[in-house]
Amino acid sequence: MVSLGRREILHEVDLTVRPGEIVGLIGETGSGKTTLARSLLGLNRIERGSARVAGVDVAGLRGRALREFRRAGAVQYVFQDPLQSLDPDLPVGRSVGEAWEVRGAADVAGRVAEALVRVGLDPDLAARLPSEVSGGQRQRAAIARAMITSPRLLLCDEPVSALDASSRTAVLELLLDLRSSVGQLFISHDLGSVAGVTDRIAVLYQGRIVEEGPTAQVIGEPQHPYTHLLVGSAPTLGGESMSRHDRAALRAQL
Amino acid sequence: MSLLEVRDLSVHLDRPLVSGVDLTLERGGTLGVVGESGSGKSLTCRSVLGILPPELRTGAETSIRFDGVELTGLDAAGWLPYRADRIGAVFQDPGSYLDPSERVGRQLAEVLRVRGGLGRRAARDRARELFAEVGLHASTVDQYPYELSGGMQQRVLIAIAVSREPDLLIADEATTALDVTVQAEVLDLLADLRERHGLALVLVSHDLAVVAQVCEEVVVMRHGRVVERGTAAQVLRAPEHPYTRSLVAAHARFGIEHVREARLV
Ligand SMILES: Nc1ncnc2c1ncn2[C@@H]1O[C@H](COP(=O)(O)OP(=O)(O)OP(=O)(O)O)[C@@H](O)[C@H]1O
Ligand SMILES: Nc1ncnc2c1ncn2[C@@H]1O[C@H](COP(=O)(O)OP(=O)(O)OP(=O)(O)O)[C@@H](O)[C@H]1O
Ligand SMILES: [Mg+2]
Ligand SMILES: [Mg+2]
Repeated sequence: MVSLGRREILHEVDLTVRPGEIVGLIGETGSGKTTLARSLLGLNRIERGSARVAGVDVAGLRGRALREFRRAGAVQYVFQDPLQSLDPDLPVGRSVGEAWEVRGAADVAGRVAEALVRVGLDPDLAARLPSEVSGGQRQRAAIARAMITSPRLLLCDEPVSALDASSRTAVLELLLDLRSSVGQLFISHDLGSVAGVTDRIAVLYQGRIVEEGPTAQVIGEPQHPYTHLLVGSAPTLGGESMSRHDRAALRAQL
Repeated sequence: MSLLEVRDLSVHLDRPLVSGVDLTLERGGTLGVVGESGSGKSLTCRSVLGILPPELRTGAETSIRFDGVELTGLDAAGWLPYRADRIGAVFQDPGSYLDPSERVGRQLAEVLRVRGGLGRRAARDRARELFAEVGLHASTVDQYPYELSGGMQQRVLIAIAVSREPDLLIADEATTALDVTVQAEVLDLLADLRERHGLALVLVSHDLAVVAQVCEEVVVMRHGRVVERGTAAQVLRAPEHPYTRSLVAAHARFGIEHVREARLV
């Protein structure tokens, strides 16, 4: 259980991400997806229950142990808003290479250039401030930054929502490539991306997981009315999404 | 006379970032803008709103006519009757457009009071109505931005943007942070505003399906230029430019359609 202020946000959440697997987390705006991801990083206190990441129970970490856990970078977070992972006053390349710089690694600039190319960015971008690159470019830089510590678990919170369709494909392909080396929790409102990269999907509604199963099953045969509404509301190129009337009817069942 | 006519828009730093962009939008019309990250979609929107970052400027040949009035070259006072009152806007990164130290209901009520001339009480009541219209619970008015999820913040901004009943709304990735059920509601809301007030819409989105659902006309941007334009049906179903074709193919690769079709049959 996790609460923020006086409100309990997450209740009795059970979720497993195995190595070599991408698990999708979808759900309502404000249902607690980001809160869950932040809890796994130790940014929100877990009051009841446990969260084991690479053998360590994050719920039990405090103070120095927690700082060390975070510095080791076993869990990395790609934020919904890329401005949160890139320091607005530092050139993009410095933010990307921060973990290497802290460890006194050799040839940080060269490694940063490689990391940028890997996410499809021009290495010259390293010299610009976050405000001088587009939203999509910022998000790719944030992903590059997350990957340099070779994390065991990557928490991707809307990692592709700021990207155009072709760079989104490149990043999703990249996440799929990385699947064998890092387990991933993929949070997104873009059900197309979720359907395309995940092995399993969990649906969060009002702080509870209301449905969980293999991707094709959750999208193809949704059981809970909220999942049904969610899947039916996704627009398609052909325009065949659920009617306003049917959506209202499902909402009434919630 | 069209509501919005952009002719030969260019935006420069030391090099051109946007060049030769023409856009036309009729009253109540809907124009989708899609294209590569960094292709100049947001700079185009910002030019129309007169809010380019100070280090950037539009070219001398650029003309932006709104309801017959040339907007380029207006000073801050000249802009005032247009921006917010007649041209509303919602951007990506909702967090950076809200005052972190002010309850969100007050932020909307302030706009209604200062710009709309409503009394304190009327502004507060109208703010509650507008929150309900965008699907926010009434109690949200008393919350601070940091207490709201990204999607909830974006709904607050949409409520603020439509509160002055503008003629034109520029939505730059405005529904990206919303879950699809809320996105569908916001798109319904925009459709209602179009119907009731003849609101015209410029919708920038990476989601081709959203554009297909909402827009009649579409322009595709790449490297600061428009590479293809036409009706949504033409551009998104029978794209001609190789770049547009790659966008549509990318959408198909990670679209929900193939999984859903299985369910629909
Ligand atoms: N610092 C905070 N103090 C109090 N409440 C908070 C705080 N941060 C978030 N909340 C509340 O916690 C709930 C969950 O928010 P969270 O950001 O986890 O949602 P989300 O599922 O990530 O939503 P979105 O899809 O919009 O990103 C929301 O109702 C929000 O209002
Ligand atoms: N203040 C600035 N200084 C220098 N370059 C800038 C500035 N603002 C934007 N740019 C550059 O101008 C180009 C167009 O940016 P813009 O934000 O309009 O792209 P976009 O099409 O909206 O991209 P996205 O889809 O990622 O949001 C990008 O290459 C960006 O790096
Ligand atoms: Mg979130
Ligand atoms: Mg943009």
